[in-house]
Amino acid sequence: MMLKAKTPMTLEDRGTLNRGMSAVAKRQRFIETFTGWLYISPPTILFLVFGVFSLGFSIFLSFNRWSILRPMKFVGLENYAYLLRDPIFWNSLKVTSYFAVVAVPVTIALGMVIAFLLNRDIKARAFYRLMVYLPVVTSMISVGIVWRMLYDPEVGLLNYLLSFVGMPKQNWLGDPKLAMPSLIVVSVWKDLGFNVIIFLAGLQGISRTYYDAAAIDGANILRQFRHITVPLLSPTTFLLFILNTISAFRVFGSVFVMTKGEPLHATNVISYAIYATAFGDLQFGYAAAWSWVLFFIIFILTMLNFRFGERKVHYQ
Amino acid sequence: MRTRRLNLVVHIVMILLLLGMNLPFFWMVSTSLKAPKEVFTYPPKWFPETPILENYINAWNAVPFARYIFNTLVVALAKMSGHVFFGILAAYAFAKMRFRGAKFMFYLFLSTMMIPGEVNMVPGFIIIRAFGWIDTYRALIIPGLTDVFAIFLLRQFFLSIPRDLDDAAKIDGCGRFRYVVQVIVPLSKPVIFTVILFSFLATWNDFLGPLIYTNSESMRVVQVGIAVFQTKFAYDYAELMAATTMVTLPVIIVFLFVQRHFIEGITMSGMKA
Repeated sequence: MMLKAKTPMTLEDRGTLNRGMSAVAKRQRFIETFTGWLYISPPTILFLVFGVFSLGFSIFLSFNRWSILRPMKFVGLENYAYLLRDPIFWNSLKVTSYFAVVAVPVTIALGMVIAFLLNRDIKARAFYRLMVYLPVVTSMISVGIVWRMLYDPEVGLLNYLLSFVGMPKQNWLGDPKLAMPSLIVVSVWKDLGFNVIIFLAGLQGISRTYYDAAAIDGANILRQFRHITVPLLSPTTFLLFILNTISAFRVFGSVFVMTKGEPLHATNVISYAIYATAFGDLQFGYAAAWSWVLFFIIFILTMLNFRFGERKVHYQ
Repeated sequence: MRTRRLNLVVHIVMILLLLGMNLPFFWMVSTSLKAPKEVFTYPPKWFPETPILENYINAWNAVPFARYIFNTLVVALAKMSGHVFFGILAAYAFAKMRFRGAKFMFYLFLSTMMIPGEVNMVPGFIIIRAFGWIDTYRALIIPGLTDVFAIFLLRQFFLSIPRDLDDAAKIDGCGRFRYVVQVIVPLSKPVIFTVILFSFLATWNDFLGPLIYTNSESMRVVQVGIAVFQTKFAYDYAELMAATTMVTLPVIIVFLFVQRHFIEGITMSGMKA
């Protein structure tokens, strides 16, 4: 007897109780299964080709040396061994981690504060929300091109504005020490709105009574934020932390358009280095191995996030 | 009153913030309207002496912009259609049908959203090359013809359509496909609209895929187009900003018109995640 406790009974199930499946029911079940798979076949096919096969092929590639111009040569784990000895590889890890470690917490913290401020019942709220989100919908390429101009050492707006507080002209994108911070600023600027929107949604789930009770007890806004908002927002913060981290390790567009990995590899992040290796040096096997390392890093970071992060999350 | 004072603070902070957030866009447009010489004066001028449209004309002629836009629109239209059509079918199957492996496949699809696209750079290129699709519309359209995010959004919505409706239709002898077309789709217009929006925006802003899969000028899309433009005219800021404005303005305009839809879509998916 097939009583499925997990899902609610449908009309089809009713007909099978106490009787086992009749031929009609069996045929109906078959049509249902067939149609179901038919409906999900287009995404499934694409998934198989550009997901499964693609990744599998990438693994295979990583064990070979191939530059398209010459035949493929099997080299086993040599690509990986070479990678571990490659200073550019380690540099890319270092530089990308630097980016993530700064950009992610800043974007989350700012996002939380701004969402908290925006959550009040003020008339211009929708307008503010809109303006904060605008950088998110534009492309990294166009935004990067504009910021590159803003960062221009001679005529850029940023140096001009900073001259009012007495700061001398800086070479934002040309100085190895300033290049990555400059990219981080652009990244925070661009992604802030997304975090704000998600936080705003999370804030909806915090009952006003908590704040009212706290206000009665004499807590000021800062205290309310620290002891009510932050803990109760932690599920949202957790989610955003994961999403932001994954996204930070994938950074590519801003580097391509603003620095191309320079100066002196100061911004040669993992994705860009892979791109340069594959389409610049034409070392596809090596690039494939590198890609896998990136994949594992993101995978492990996400697992770690779940492991350690979830404990801190306070569910209501 | 405390609330009023706090609200004032909020307004001030917000206005400062928004000035900061939107300054780059203002500067982009302002520069695009300046005579090229004006761009290189220091201290920089906030507004052009006399706004000119020459930069736009020069940018338009310097590279085949019309072609870039045409390509992008073709790809966008195709992908939007694919996302909606295949998305509705798949989402319906996941939401309303019961078949072996349904749950597994759905979570499998969700997990692909976590895979960085950058990992697919290399094998994707080689697969496309093996198919002979390099530099064709097929390469730009087919790999992205379905979209897991669209399936996710649609499924969320379909789940909220009461089962009674499905049962009633079945009793009346309505076939599955007909049910989808004649009942589900009309009910889902807002979500479908959101899907179309996201698809259009994502395609217009798409960079990495087109960068890798196309190399001839006639097949470029707008994002690759302005990236190349910058390579050629790195310091012609006025023309560069004109080109960038042309590529960014459509996005901003579309967004301003439908922002509520957009933000609701993101919020919904964020909550469910």
